[in-house]
Amino acid sequence: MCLAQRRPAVHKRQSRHIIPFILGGVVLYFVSGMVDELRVYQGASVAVYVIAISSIILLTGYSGQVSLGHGALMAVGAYAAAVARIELHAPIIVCFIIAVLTAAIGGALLGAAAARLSGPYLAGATLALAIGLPSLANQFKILGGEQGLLFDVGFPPLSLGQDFTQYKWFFWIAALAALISMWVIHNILSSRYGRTWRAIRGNEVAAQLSGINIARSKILAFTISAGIAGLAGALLSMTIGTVSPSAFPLTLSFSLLTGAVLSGITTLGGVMIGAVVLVAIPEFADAVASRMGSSEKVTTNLPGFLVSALLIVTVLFVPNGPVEQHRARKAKKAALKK
Amino acid sequence: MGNNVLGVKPEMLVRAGISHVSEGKSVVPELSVRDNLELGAIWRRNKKESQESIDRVVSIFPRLGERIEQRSDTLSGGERQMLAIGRAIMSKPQLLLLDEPSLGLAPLVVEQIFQTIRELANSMNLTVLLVEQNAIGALKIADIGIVLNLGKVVAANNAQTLIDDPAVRAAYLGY
Amino acid sequence: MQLLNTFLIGITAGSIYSLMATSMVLVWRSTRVVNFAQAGMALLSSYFGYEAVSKFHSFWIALPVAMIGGAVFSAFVEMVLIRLLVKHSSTGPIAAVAPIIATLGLLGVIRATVSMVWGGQNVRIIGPVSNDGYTINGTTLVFSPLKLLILVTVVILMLALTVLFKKTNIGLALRASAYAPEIARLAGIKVDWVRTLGWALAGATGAVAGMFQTVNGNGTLSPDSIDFSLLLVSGFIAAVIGGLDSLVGAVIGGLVLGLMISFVLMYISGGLFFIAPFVILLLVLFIRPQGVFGAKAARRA
Repeated sequence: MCLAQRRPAVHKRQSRHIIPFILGGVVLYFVSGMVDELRVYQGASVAVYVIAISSIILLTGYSGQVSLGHGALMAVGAYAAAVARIELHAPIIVCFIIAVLTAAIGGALLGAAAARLSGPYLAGATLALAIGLPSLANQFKILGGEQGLLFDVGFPPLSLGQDFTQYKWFFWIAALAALISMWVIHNILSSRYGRTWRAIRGNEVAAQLSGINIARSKILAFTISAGIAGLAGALLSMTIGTVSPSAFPLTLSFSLLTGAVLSGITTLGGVMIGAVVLVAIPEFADAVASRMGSSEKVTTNLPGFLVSALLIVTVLFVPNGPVEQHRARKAKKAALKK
Repeated sequence: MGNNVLGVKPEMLVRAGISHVSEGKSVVPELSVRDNLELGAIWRRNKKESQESIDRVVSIFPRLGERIEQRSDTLSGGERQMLAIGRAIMSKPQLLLLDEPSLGLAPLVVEQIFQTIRELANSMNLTVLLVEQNAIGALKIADIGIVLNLGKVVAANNAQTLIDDPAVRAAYLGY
Repeated sequence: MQLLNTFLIGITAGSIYSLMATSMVLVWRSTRVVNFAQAGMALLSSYFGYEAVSKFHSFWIALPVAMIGGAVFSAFVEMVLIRLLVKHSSTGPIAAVAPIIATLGLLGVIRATVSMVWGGQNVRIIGPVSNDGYTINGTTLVFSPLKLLILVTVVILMLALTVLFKKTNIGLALRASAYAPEIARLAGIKVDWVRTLGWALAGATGAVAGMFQTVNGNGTLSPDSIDFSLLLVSGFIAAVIGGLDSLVGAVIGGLVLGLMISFVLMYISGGLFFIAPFVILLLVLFIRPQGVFGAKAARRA
């Protein structure tokens, strides 16, 4: 009796949430037709960042584990996809799935190793990984060494018309991946898994006393987060066309963390903000630098400077992100009115 | 004398001659007994005076002398209280604030400590403000007693008078 | 012979890591923050040293300049950044993570700024004595006057710090402020300034590590160099191995790390250079999570 009554409610909740994502997809379809190539390419980058940042939000914002090594996990996914493409000649979708699975396995291992760590110890361990792992690719021939591997997703199918450019194709794939991922992640976060993670982050001892298996939950968070990061990595490589260690430097991991903090690390709602800012900063920095007539060394480093400075400012003054801050302010106002 | 110390930063209180003793707020468990004592006099920055003060404390509390290099978290409750008081007098205060020194201690130890406090007050010309739930024990060593009930002063008198006061006796000893 | 060389290389590198670890322990003990920007600050201090070398052509002037610069900069960071951090984000879901993120941001800012200011130049610092190995009975050891100098200096510094902490009033104030700030305050210690001092000491120590790491390597100073990345990671790992709370542990941790990396490179594979620290870290954390000298409570940051 109870089960039958519960089922329809759950089903309805999930399908209710899918509408905004479908609508989003339609909007993007029209928008991509109207803007120029550069914006389309940037749109693809934004989509990639959206996915990557949401993996951080899941891991850090929800389960409270700090990872400075997600750049390395992205690399794992990217290499897996590229190898699958080259060695197995697999269709693109299979490559991406392999990327997710491989990265997820890596995440599970990392999570198992990290389950006993917390706070700065975890951060430091993942930092060491972020520095060490990509360079491992130089050791194995199959991974292409310094120059890396080619990752070619192929041309857009002819059925989409002559004018359909490569960049538009990238954008579509990335955007579709982002929409699907967001829907999946949103549902995971709203489920009891999400609630369990929040409980752990809030107070581990209390969570344990409530019967939660801390280690298993943490490892699960790492696994899922890593899989998502792997997808983002594969998509990133798609847009660049190659996979190499230099595409996944330490600064990438930091950028992801920055983007997550900017978006509001505890909620998925603001993830676009972080992604857009991360893509916009290099361009903004370019504009500023050329306006000031600066040398090359300024232009190459200004984006990094701005990202890091923004990170400091955000974590000091808007630590929970603009979305959460706004909600908190609204709640305070409502409470005062009463 | 006669300075207003309300709202003053904590680090300024000891410079004003006020020493606060409360077991949780006086002893740093990770530091040795010697270190804790030295902490009491640290703001005076005089190492020689400091050593003299330590010698004096050890003569008052010989048990501390035995354990002088041990970590403070190895001390018993009574010894920690002694350490707290010893630390307080290291700074040669004029006013000593004692916050429930008998809490959690065995009666014999409590007696010892109360005795020591009285002796200190006499020998060091020290004004002691003793906050205690152990009313009779405290009144026995005090000059003046102030009884509070729910934050309000209900009696303020010569200590001996209060001990003899049947109302106080009734409130604290039930007869 | 190879064994001896490996050992000596490891000890020298390890002593530099010990310095980095010491600075991280100093920061941790005074403000309970893991400063991920420590290596960046060491890098910046080394650039100050470089400027001094350019002007005065003497390493022995450059070293104190770097130390003072490092100390001042660290004090500045503590006064501005850390105090703000404690004020604004000590509650809320991000509280545990905020100092980590803030110091990471600082690291990025320092790296970018250093690249912008000194970017195109070929920045080199030459050591005061030669790095050619001693020759005994016709065989040349890897051990050189420079390496000997580094070892001796590190030992002296460590002794100085130990004396400072154990025997002086300042040292007692530093320890008390780290363990129990409220009690320290009631003892009349100006805890805020003591914390700043802790950071300043850490900055000076890190500066020495940065300078030595540069001259012990190939002499080039750059934010993208291998030496810098190694410094970044190893300081932290060495501190963890030894236990974040312990200065002695920092020394041991640094030496152990240096030796282990040296042996791995020599006897297993040179290509494992970058991943070795990570593996070593994991091993340590599995075997003894609180570090060699750390108290069990130290693990929960």
